[in-house]
Amino acid sequence: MKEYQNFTMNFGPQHPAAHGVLRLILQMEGEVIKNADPHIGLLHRATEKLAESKPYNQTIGYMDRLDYVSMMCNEHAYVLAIEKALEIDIPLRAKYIRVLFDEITRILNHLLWLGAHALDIGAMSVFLYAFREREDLMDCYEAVSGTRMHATYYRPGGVIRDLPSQMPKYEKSSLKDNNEIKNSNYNREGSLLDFIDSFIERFPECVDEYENLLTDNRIWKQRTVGIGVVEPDRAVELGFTGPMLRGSGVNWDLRKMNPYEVYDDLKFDIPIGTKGDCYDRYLVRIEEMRQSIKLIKQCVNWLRENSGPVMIDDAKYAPPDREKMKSEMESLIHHFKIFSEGYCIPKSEVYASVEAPKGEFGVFLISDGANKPYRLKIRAPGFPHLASLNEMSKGHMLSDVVAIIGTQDIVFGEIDR
Amino acid sequence: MLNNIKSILKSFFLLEIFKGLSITGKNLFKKPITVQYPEEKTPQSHRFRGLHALRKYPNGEERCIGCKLCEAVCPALAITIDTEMRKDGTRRTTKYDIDLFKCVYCGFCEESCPVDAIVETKIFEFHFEDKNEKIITKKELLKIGDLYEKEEIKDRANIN
Amino acid sequence: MEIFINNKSYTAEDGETIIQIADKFDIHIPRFCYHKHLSIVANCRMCLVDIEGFKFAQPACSTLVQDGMKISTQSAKTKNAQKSTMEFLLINHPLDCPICDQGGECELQDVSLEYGDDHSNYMQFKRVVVDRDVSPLISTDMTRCIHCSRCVRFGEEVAATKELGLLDRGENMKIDSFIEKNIDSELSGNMIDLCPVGALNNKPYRYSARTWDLSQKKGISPHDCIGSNIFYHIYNNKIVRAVPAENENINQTWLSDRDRFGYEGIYAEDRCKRPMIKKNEKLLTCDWDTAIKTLNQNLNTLKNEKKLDSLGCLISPQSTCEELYLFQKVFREFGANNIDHRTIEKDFDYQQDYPVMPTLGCDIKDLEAYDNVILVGVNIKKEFPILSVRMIQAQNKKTQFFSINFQSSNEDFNPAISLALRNDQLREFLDYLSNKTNKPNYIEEKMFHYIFKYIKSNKKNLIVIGPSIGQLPNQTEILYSLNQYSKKINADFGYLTEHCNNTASWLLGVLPHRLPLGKRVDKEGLNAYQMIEKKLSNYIFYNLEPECDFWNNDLVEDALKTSKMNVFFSSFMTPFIAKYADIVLPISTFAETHGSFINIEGSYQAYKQIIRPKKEIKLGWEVLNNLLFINGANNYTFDTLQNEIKNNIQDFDVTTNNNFKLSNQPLKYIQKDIFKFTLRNTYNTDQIVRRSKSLQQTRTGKLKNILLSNDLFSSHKKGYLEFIDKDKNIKSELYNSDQSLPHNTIAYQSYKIGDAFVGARTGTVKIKS
Repeated sequence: MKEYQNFTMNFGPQHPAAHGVLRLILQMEGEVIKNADPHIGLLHRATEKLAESKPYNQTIGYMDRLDYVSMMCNEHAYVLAIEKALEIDIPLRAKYIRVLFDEITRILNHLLWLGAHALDIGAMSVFLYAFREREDLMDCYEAVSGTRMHATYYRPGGVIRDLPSQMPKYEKSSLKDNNEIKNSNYNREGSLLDFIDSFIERFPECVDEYENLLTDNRIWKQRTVGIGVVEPDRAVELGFTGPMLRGSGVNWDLRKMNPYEVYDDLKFDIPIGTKGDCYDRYLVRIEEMRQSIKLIKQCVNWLRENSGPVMIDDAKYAPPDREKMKSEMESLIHHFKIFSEGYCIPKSEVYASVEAPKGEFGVFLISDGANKPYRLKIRAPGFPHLASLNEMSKGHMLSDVVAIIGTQDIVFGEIDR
Repeated sequence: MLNNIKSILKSFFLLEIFKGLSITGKNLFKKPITVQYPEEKTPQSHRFRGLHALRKYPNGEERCIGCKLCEAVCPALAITIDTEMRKDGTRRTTKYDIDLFKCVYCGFCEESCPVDAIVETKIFEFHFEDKNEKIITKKELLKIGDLYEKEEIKDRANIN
Repeated sequence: MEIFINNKSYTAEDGETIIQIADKFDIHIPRFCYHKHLSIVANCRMCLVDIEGFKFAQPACSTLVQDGMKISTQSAKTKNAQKSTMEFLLINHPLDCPICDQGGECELQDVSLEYGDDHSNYMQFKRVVVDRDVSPLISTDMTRCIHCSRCVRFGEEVAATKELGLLDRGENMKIDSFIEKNIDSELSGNMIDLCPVGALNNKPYRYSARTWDLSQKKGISPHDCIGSNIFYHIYNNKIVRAVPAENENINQTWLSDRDRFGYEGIYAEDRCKRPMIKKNEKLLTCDWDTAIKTLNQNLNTLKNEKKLDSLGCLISPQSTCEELYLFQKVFREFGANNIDHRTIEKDFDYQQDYPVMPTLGCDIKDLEAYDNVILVGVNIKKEFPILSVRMIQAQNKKTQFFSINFQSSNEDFNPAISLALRNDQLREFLDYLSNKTNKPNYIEEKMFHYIFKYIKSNKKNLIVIGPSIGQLPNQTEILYSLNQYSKKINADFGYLTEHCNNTASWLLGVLPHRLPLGKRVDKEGLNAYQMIEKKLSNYIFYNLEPECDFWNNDLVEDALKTSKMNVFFSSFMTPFIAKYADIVLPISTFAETHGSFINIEGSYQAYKQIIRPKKEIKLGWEVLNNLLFINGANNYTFDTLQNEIKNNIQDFDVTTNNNFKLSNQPLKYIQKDIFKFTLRNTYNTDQIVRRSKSLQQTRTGKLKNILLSNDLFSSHKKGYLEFIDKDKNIKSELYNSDQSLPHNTIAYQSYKIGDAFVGARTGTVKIKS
């Protein structure tokens, strides 16, 4: 009788389904995975170490670049940690703006996940449609912060600027006449809030479209149902968070369990799965997008009705008003000091976390009283998820590994840091 | 029982496939949202953080006073400044270099500038043909500032 | 007694103030006007603290502790008081932070950030104070001044020359110098450090960097034998400024201007940049290998031909211990005996009886323990400003000072007696003090009365011999007389030396007659003056400027002209070097090498390389080590070299070696002609200071005249004079009368008058009018 032997296969890091720079060493028995060994570190940029050498505010920009599909959520955890250590409370309007953009970020992230996941498994169109919607959300990012991805918008003490009162518009070009331009600017006539309004009006239908394309689709179901099943207890043991945990049926969401900012004032539901397979996690994420719409709507309504400061009025931690800086000595000194030296955080150890789209994104900060962290530890949700890849993919076919990587929503920015 | 038959029928007639195809078909005839770059451009926020520029006062005097705050606050250490006392006794820069490969376009330099000298313009379509061009000098920055001063004033007026 | 600060108990001594206790236990209280080495005025009101039982917050700097006092530095009362004070201080402060050099290290900023409010309630106009250019070393922006008066008190108390004062009152109050006067103190730079804001700032450093750009390296002053500790601040491998490093034993928190701005000489334009060799009467650049090989070849030829007696090896005592040690070692290995460092001296008869190394005779901090200090041939204020601070402190504790010099000393402290004597008079005077015979008639009777009244053998006396004595042609006589006198009054005997490392030069045997640690040499070589005078055929000059570092530069030129090989290990390319050198080896200055100095107390102080030298410049000890190595000796690393020196000197007890005897010398030299001497201009003492641009712009740095004693001045008609200096004429229209000179005396204020070098440092001169 002929003897078969396991053989080792290299997957990635240049594989299109590897979501970045994942390298898997797969022990195969025929088509069946015996062992999957993820290799990480190809996108390591020493963010934690870099932070130790910079005043606190200068690290905000590096947070964007961790999980580069949910930028503002990373910033959020970081500024929350600083605010916790400084024991400062931020203005209410800033809290609503933060929640608004956290949820926009969630949709941004889930759209990318959905498009990429579907593309990996074989559906092309969803990817295109998802990116079409992402475009509008990116415009929201750009409207408030000036960049489409790496926003550096959240600051300890609030957000850097209030929402803009106008949206940038398409301008006349040689290819389009006035009428066409007017049509493309239909949702850009008002403020950013109006723009978001028109988005959330349109977006539920878009989600329906994605569902029509995927939810009942037999190929989609064949590729996801029963794949990568994780039992609830095991999911908790493995340190899962976010949709990965809720897909297994565990009711855990930091927005409910440990409400930060204004989540406890807002109405929304937490979807949970039953079987803990890839399909359930897909359904959970789709529903999360719908819940995000609900949250965004509430935030937009509140923000429309209430005005106020978006940054604490304390020049010890937040730069003073620019006009004042040019006329008052105290403000100038504080401006100078904040930008040259930053502020000092009293000796403390804090942990702050947010429910990022991928799960619990946490920042553990040790301050020795200086103007830079003594140690900054980032808890990236993707890391324990990736760690369970071996367990989730054992016994599955090679092609299922792609589905499992997809369902884990891996982004190497945060895993390698 | 009825549900079972329903789903069997559904799947037999490939209903969900046709549903999906109808969506893709609909989108096939929809007007594309893409634009014909470079003739057309997507809208750009007034807060956009693109290529840097050094501004001047209306009387032609450079704004920058060489306080080095932007250099200090730059997280990527992209800015290099050398200063001296100019002949009229004012503090001025002799060197103001920005390494565009290092720059992360966070906008901190603009925020820190006490005299609104360094700004990030809306220019994003810049390129280099040689690696050494990545460092833009004071002269080039001032030139960009001259060229885009009007737009910069407009953007600053509309920033909120 | 026990006091409580923030509910914690601390023990305090009677007479201490709250701020002193707080500083001792690291409890921070903000302050502007308080400084531990200055008097207490409590005029900034920043240090207000809440004391239980007092209705209002009290200034911590001026409130004495009482038993059981309960102080709070955190309470609302304290915080409110601090906040309000800060608001008032900032009302008139200009919005200068972005262009102010103090930005980033400004006490006003720091205190505002920590204790002040974050916004202003003041909207009216701010006052403006007109600036005046008071010094080439200090830039002023008096609008920024917060009237803490630290600079005024520094002038009054530490430098003891009041050059700044508070004028007017209320809103018109300003710090200003006196009418038409500049800040000329040799310690003026300390006001820069003291100023808590950017009102007084470092002028050469102005606008060149930000504090956060700078890295700090510790160094030891290479300009005088006190060995002040310095922090050099470096930006892009360039020293941009120097600040004092605190050392309570030596310089406390002060630094002389010479130490603070002297580093500028490193960046002089005439630095030697590449090794050079003379070929066909032209000095051409070459690579290091060639230069070293040629030198080695020449030396070996000399050795083989047994002509090493014709080799003169001279090194500057400004070199580091490592260089000095290696220098004598290298050339002794070759077999050379003519090794010396005393290029500025002429009379060497004293050398057999000299102590192993010259020391001050006491620790610098112990000066105030003496009842009487007799200063001979030194103007402390000008030559050793840091010591001046100590002497003012000593005088406040009732130490008497007696100053005897060739020009009556202008000191910041008040000497009980300040005599100006010619060198022959000095000897007569000293002999009279010892023997009471031949009473000199040119000294007033009351002076003697004074001297005999105070200086008695049952008091603690110290005689300090300054570097000017070394330049005298009758140095041995003076030393002998001084020694006799010191024995009579039972005084300690101490020296202040010309350069920073004379002590180590003696100790490490850079001498023709002694090996390291004072061991005898088998065959005694020529001393520095003989080497030059005898016109040897080969010379090695290390770190020396032939123009200015010798007793007589004319003789040096003659010697260089006739010699066959002139090797210069030099950091600077002087005209003489360019003209006469056969081999030039560009070596590091003090800042570019690791090194160590032994100061006049005998403390060994090492420092690490401060800046990297330019590419083709090598570290001095490396070059010497290379010479050793290619001749088959052990290859030193810097550490092994330093350890060898340390091991050599660590068991050597400084104090036991101060008890030297001078053999009884016959009188052999009395001046009849006009006595001439060269003043040790503070900013001309060494090759680095000479090149410091800012120091040369000061009033002292610009002194380049000839001074005539009153009798000479009045007997010659004004306008034009011609000096006959041996067979050389120095013409000059730059001359002044000076009352502080003894009669029949001429003094050169610098080694260079106009374009001409002065020739012999001391001696006789004739005037043709």
